[in-house]
Amino acid sequence: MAPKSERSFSDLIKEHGEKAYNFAFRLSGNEHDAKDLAQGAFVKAYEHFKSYDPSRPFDSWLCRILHNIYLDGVRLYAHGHVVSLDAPAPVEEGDWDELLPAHDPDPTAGLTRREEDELLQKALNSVPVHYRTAVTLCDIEGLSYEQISEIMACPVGTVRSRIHQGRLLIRRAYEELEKGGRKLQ
Amino acid sequence: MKDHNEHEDNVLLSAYLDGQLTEAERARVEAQLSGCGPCREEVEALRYMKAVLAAAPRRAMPPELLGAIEDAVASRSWTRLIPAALRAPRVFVPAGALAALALVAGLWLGLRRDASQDFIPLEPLMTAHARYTAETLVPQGSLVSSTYSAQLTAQNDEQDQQAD
Repeated sequence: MAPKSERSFSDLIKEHGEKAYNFAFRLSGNEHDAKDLAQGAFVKAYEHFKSYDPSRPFDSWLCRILHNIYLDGVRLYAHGHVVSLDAPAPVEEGDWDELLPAHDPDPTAGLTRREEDELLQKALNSVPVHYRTAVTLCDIEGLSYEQISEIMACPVGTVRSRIHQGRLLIRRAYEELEKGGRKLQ
Repeated sequence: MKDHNEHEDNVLLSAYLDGQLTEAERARVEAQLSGCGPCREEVEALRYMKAVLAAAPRRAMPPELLGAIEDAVASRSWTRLIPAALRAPRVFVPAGALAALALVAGLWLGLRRDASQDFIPLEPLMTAHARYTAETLVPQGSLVSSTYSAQLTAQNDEQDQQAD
């Protein structure tokens, strides 16, 4: 099925642009990559609109495209670097100190809303992409496990596991960052 | 009683919070929670993290991005003007390119052909014919020149006698 007109696809961009950008930002952790991801996803969606099943939510389809573009980028980067999408999270190693800033000796000062969000994004960035994606789609974008399994192309059982492990990992990173919050400024 | 870390259903704790369990799974997790303090603590920690994530501010789309996306999509839209019949599957592209190349090469060679080459020149033919005739006189058994001269003289004499 092709878009009825340029106008109708333009409506889809307006309707789902913010969701796509927000998801892209949480995945990539920066505005520049988020813009590229969101734009790439819409262009690809337009080019392959025939394969879109209109009985399914458009945003899930769009997020799946965006996620695939992101994974392709990570794999391309990983080709020249030591990176693995399936790398185990450093739970047992307990080497968060290498990943996170040092603890502040006086972390009494409160964090602003913006600082809190920066901490959260840093915590998200610190976990492997599959966990970050699952948790972002569930808790930030509010999608169901079924929708997430479609986007991530994996069984619902895998989604359950990734959300659970992801929340634990993000919480641990977030707490460590909160303790050393002032070091981030 | 199992230790907290030995609980096989720990992975279900997040799904429990999200209301994504079957009735049987839910009952199993609730039984686990009623008898395990660390499990209850873990559920609370997960609940807290879920709330923090849910309260994360939405990132507003940069104003220029909307226009950039629309421009990028519009730049792709011209390809839709090409009739579907002309958008052949990629598998035919190499074959089509070869066929087009062969056609162009054939046309070029045909146009390049000189009209003067439409007839065969007689001079080289006559030269070749004369040479062939002379060579048939060469005795096949021996190529020694003295023998050839003697044979040629004898042949000439014979022709002279026949003429007389």
